[in-house]
Amino acid sequence: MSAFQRFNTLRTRLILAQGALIAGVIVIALTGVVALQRVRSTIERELNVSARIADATAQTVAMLFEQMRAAEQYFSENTAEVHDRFQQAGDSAHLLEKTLLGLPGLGADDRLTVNQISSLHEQAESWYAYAHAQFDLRRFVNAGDAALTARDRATELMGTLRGFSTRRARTAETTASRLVASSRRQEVTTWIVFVITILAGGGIVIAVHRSIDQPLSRLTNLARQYSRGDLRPVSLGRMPLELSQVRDAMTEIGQRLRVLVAEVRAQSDRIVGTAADLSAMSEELAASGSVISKAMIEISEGAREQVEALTAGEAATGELRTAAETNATVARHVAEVTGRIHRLAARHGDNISVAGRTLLDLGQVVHTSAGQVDKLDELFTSIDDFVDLIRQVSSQTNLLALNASIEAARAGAGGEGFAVVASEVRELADSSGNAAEGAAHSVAAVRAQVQDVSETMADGRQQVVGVESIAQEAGSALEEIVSVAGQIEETAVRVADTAKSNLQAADQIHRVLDTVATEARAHAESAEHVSASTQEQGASTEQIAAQASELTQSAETLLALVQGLKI
Amino acid sequence: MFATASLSRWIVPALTALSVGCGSGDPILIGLAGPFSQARGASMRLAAQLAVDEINRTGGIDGRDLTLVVGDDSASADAAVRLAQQFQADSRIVAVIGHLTSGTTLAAAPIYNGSDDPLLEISPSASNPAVSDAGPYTFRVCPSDLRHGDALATWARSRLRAQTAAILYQDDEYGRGVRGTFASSFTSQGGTVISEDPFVLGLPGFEPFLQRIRADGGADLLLVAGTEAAAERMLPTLDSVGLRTTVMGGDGLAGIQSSGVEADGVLISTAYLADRPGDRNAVFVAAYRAAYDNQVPDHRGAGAYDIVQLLAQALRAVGPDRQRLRDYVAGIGTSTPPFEGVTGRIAFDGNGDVPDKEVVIGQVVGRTLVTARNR
Repeated sequence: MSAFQRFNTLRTRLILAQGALIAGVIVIALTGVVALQRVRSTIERELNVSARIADATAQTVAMLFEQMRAAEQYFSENTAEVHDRFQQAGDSAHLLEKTLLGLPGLGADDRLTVNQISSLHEQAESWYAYAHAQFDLRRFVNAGDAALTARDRATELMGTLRGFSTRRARTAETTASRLVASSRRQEVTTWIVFVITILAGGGIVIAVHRSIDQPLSRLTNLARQYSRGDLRPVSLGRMPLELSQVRDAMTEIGQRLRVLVAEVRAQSDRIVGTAADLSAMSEELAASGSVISKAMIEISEGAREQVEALTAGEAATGELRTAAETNATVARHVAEVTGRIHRLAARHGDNISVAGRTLLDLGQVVHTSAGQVDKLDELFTSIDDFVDLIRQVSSQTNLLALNASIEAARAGAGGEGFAVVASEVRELADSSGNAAEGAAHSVAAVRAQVQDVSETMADGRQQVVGVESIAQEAGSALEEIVSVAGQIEETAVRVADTAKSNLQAADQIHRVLDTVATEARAHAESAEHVSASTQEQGASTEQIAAQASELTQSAETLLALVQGLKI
Repeated sequence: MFATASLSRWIVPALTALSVGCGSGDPILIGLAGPFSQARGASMRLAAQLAVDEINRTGGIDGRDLTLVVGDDSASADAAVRLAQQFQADSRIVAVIGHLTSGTTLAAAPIYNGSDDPLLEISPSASNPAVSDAGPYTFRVCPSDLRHGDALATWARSRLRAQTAAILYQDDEYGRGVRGTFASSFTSQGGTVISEDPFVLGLPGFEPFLQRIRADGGADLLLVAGTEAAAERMLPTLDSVGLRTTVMGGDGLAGIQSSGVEADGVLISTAYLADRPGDRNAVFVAAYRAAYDNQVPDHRGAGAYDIVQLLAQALRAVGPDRQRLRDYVAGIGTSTPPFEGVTGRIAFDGNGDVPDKEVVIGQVVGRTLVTARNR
């Protein structure tokens, strides 16, 4: 900080201005005092000079009068005493004249006059002395002539003295007017100093005012500019220290505000961009959420349907179980029937047709049974892999039924009874299960019986010519029946096993279905959860979108706020 | 007479320059003021010119000629004041030699001392005591009348054994001064002053005074306190009246020896006599005689000669400046050594007086003034 800056303060300026004004006042006072002193000393000096001159003049005049009186007196009284008075008065007058001549303040004209007075005095004195000498020598005429001359000189002397006094009086007037002029000069000087001081003081006040006011108004303008939002930097110029500190602070504020506004603008732009992105994303999210939601609803519905299906599956497996149990029962019945067939075939060859019909019936039953299995198979088809075994059984059962039916058909009228038997077999098969083993034994017995039957039937065929072919056929049919019965027996056993397995499988399926249903329910719940979550997410996304728009609005508000600010 | 003064003021320097001018540059001007139209002023002017010529012949002052500006005051106070005003106003004039008489010196002193640019004034012969107090710029190289009156009274009492003295004094500063100092000294030494009568040159004559002195019984001596001109008229009257007495006078009477009147035996007090011993004086007197038709210089001439030489010394020392010249001159005898002149040793006191200067008594013998011999 330079010396100029250190002293370029309001304080310094005010102190300087006040100092200058005080100095001006002091100068005025001193000038006035000096002027008064000068006037006073001039008056004193002039008065002193005038007084001394007047005093010396008066004494001179008195002495001259004294001498002249003594001189005249001598003519009537020529004593030593009068002579001494004449002489002493004359000597005194000469001394006074010399004193007068030596006084300061006497002009050249005055000196010449005093010299003239001295000269006239000397002449009058000498002529009187001359007249006195003549008088002492008693030459009165000569004395009178000399005295006349002496009186002439004395008269001239007195006239000159009067003139001198008059001139001194005039000199006094001149002196007075000179004093007046001097006083006036001093007065004028004082006034000039006063006016100069006033002007200088005014100038100083104006200068100080300007030096404070102008920087202040520049600062005020800057503040106004800032308040208008115009933050552009302005050069403020030099100013007093205090104001320059304010100026620096305001400049700093402006600088910081400019940076801030620029930053706000940049950030707002970014926020707007981000909010737009967010908005787009939230829209996408909302879209995908609705998709998910829809998908979940579908999943949920699917799961529900699955559950329903599974429930149906359970019912179906229940039915299957029932069917399997029925199968087992049927199989047992089949075995029993087959045994009875064996027995019947053996005992009732004649009743082969009946048996045929029975078998036909059986075929029908089987057929019916096959239809049921088909129906079961349909049921199992709906539950894919879980019913394969059932289907196989069904298929085998169907195949068996078909075979039975075919056989029943082949059996013709006798087949009708067989069909009934077959139906009963079916019923038996349906109602049998655990008797499969027994059935197997029965089947073996049946098989033996069938063989008996077959042998019987072969006996019958021979006995029954008419019905040889039929018998034969019946025999073969019986044989076929025996084998078929055997097969049926095996099949029934197998059916029984299978039915057991089916039962287990059905249980397993039930359990699996149960698990699946549980999972499906869980899925459904999860899907519902997901759906709910998705819905919630959707709400959130909407919220996000709303907030993004709010954000955008805020950013826009911010931008609008700083938009007016010029930087 | 003012016309004469003005004329001489302009003519004399011109003549001087023509006759002497050997220096270069502007001449240095010195005023010379005295009653040169009267006999008593002659020697002063001639001696001053002699000194100037001698100086200019030897190269002047640092190559510049000295030139005298001669002004005639006719021994009149009025003329002296006017002349002083002219000298004062001419800034080329660095000093004034003069005035010759006490009255003119005192009248002009306020002019020389009182202005803004004071002018040095050195008188060769203004012996009035008042000159001591005339101002710091007023000097003289002669003793004051106090010394003259004292010297005369002492001589009268101790040499003449005079008991009574009659005084005729010229009614001016000089005459009154000599009268006062003589009367005082003579009385104090036991003498009696029987009469003191003033005169002016305008009076018809001195016969009534002298007749009354004779009628009153005469006196052992008659002191003529006045000028040579007055004495010139008085001495014949003395004879006609028949008053037998010794005539004495101050240096105002110098010149009476060559006036033509019978003046043998007149005793004159003076600071200088041409027969004063000393080589310096002898050379001066010889030069004066050679230059001016075998005339003999008086105390005024010798004083003027010394003043020119003294001013030349001062000019060489401090240059042509009024104030510095005055200060140099005031210091002669104190700050600088005394000046050895033809009139003796010059050393100024605080009043511009030369207290060392002795007054000698001369006597008119034939037509010369010689050192008085004991009778």
